[in-house]
Amino acid sequence: MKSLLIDTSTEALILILTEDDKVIDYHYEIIKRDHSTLLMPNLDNLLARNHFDISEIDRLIVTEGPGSYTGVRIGVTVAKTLSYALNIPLYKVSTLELMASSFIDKGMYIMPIIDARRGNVFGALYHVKQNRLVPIYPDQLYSFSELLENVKQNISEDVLVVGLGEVNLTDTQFTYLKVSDYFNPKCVFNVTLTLVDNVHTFVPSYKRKAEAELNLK
Amino acid sequence: MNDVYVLAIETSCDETSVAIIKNGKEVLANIVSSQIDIHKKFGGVVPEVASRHHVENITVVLDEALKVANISLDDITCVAVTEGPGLIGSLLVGINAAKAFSYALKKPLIGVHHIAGHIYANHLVSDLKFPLMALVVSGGHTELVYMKDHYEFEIIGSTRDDAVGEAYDKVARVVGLPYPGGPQIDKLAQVGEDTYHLPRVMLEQDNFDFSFSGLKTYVINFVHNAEQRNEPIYKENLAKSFQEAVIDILVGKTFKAIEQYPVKQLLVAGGVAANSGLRNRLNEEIKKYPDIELVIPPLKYCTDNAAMIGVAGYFSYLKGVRADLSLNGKASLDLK
Repeated sequence: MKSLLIDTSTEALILILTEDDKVIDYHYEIIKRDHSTLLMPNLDNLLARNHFDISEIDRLIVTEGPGSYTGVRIGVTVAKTLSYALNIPLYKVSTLELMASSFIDKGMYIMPIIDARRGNVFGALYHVKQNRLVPIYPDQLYSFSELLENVKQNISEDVLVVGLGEVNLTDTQFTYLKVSDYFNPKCVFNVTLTLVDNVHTFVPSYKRKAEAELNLK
Repeated sequence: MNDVYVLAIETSCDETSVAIIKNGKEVLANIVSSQIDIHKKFGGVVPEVASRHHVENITVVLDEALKVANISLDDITCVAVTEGPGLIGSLLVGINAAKAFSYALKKPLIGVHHIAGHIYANHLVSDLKFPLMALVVSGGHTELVYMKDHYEFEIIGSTRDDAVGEAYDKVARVVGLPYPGGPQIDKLAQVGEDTYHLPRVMLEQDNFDFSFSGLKTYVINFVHNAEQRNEPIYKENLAKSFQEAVIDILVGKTFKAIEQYPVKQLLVAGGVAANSGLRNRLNEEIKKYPDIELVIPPLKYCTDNAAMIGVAGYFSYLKGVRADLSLNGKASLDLK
C-alpha cells in the first residue's frame, strides 16, 4: 500500500511517501507562502526521484486544517482532484495532530499551536497514550493566554507547546519547541486518519468563519 | 488533425465553472455554479467566502462537466485554466485543481488570461476574422482591444479609474438596488426616460480611454443631495439617464476607434455585454458600417464561464503554449 501525504496548511510544505510501514521518502520545507507554486513541482519531484508514477499511489492523505485558509485550500483542492481523477481513496488528518505527532516520544502532553493573529491560536491539547495522540482539548480557535491559563488549572504535568514561529513562554510548566527542528516523517504512522466518504463534499476544517460572515450580525 | 478536447476551468471570481470544448468551437459541456445568492447578503463578492465555495464546488462541477460531455478522461487533449486576473484566492482553487488534473491525466496544462477568454467567447458565435476590435466591458475591465491575429492583443484604450461594471454596481447600491446592480439598472432603465442629463465624461477627448468615476460620483452626490432636500428621485429615469450616459461613452469611443483602425469585426466581451441597452445601441450603430460584422455572445457566454476559457485555451494549444506545474494565480496580469 503506497500512500502520499500532502500538507500545505502551515508555513511548511510537507510531502511524505510511504509504503506499508516504511517511509520511502519525504519533502519538508519551510516556505512561508507560495504553496501554490511549489506543491505540484515538489510532488512530481518526490515521485520521480523514487521512480514512482502518480498512478501507482494507492491512497492520498491530506491535512484538513486548521491553518492558513489559502494554504489548506491548496492542499485540499489538489488532494480532492487527484483522488477524483485517479479514483483512489482520500484520508484526512488534522493539521494540529500532524504537528504534534513528531513529538510523541518527547512528552506526555503536547499542545500544537498555529498563529491566528491578535493573540489567538488554532490549537489543541493531546495526551500521549501508547504512541497515540488522544485529544484532550479539541482543534479550535483559542485565545492563547486563556488556553495556557486553562491548561494550567486542569493539568499539573509539563506540557510541550509546539509551533512554527518564535514563542516565548515564561511559565516553567510549558516548554516551547519548533516543529521544524523536530519533524520526523514517521509521524504519519502516529496520527488518526479518517476516510473521506465523499470527495466532492469534502471541505477544509477552517475553525473560523470568514471575517465578512462574522460582521454580518 | 485529431480532434482537440479542451477541459477548461474558470474560478476567477464567484462562479465555479468547468467546460469541455471540442476543436475550439463546439461546447460539449459548460457547467457554471454561481454564488450570486451567497454574496447578495454581503452586497458584493467577499473573496474569502468565494474561495471557500470554490473548494466545495470544484470537483462536483468537474464531474458534472465530464458526465454532460459524455467523454472519458482519456479523450481529454489538454487542461486550460484561468491564471488571472481575478481574486487570488479564487484563482488558486481552479489553478490547483487544473494542475492536479493535468498531472493525474498526464495531459498538457495551459494558462489562459481571463479577458482573452471573454474575447474568444465570440468565436463560439462567429469565427474570429482579423483585424478585429473588441470592446471589453465587465466588473473589472473596460478596454478597447485591437487584434491583428490570434493572441495579438493591442490595448488601444482602457479605463483610467472605475470599470464600467463597477460603476454600475456602485450606482445601483446608492439607488437601493440589490447586488449585482448592473442587470437591475438595465431592467429599470427599460421603463425610464433620460431626464437627468448626466455628464458624458471624456467623450470629446481625442483618445480611446474611458472614465466612469466622475459619472458615478455625480450620480451618488445627486442622490444624496436629493435625499437631504427630501426631493423625490425617479429611479427608473435615473437608471435610464445613467445607462444612456454610459452607453454614449462606450459606443462613442468604440466607433471612434473603428474609424481609426479599420476592422472586419467588432466584438463585445465581458459581463456588461449582457446589457440590453448596450446591445441595442450597438446593433443600431453598426448599420452605418455594412462591412463590419458585429458579434455579441449570448448571455451565458458574456458572464464568467469556462467555455470561453476552453476556446481561448484551444488557440493557445494550437500555438504550442504550455504551462508547467509551477503555474500560479495572478491577481493582475497583462493581456498578451
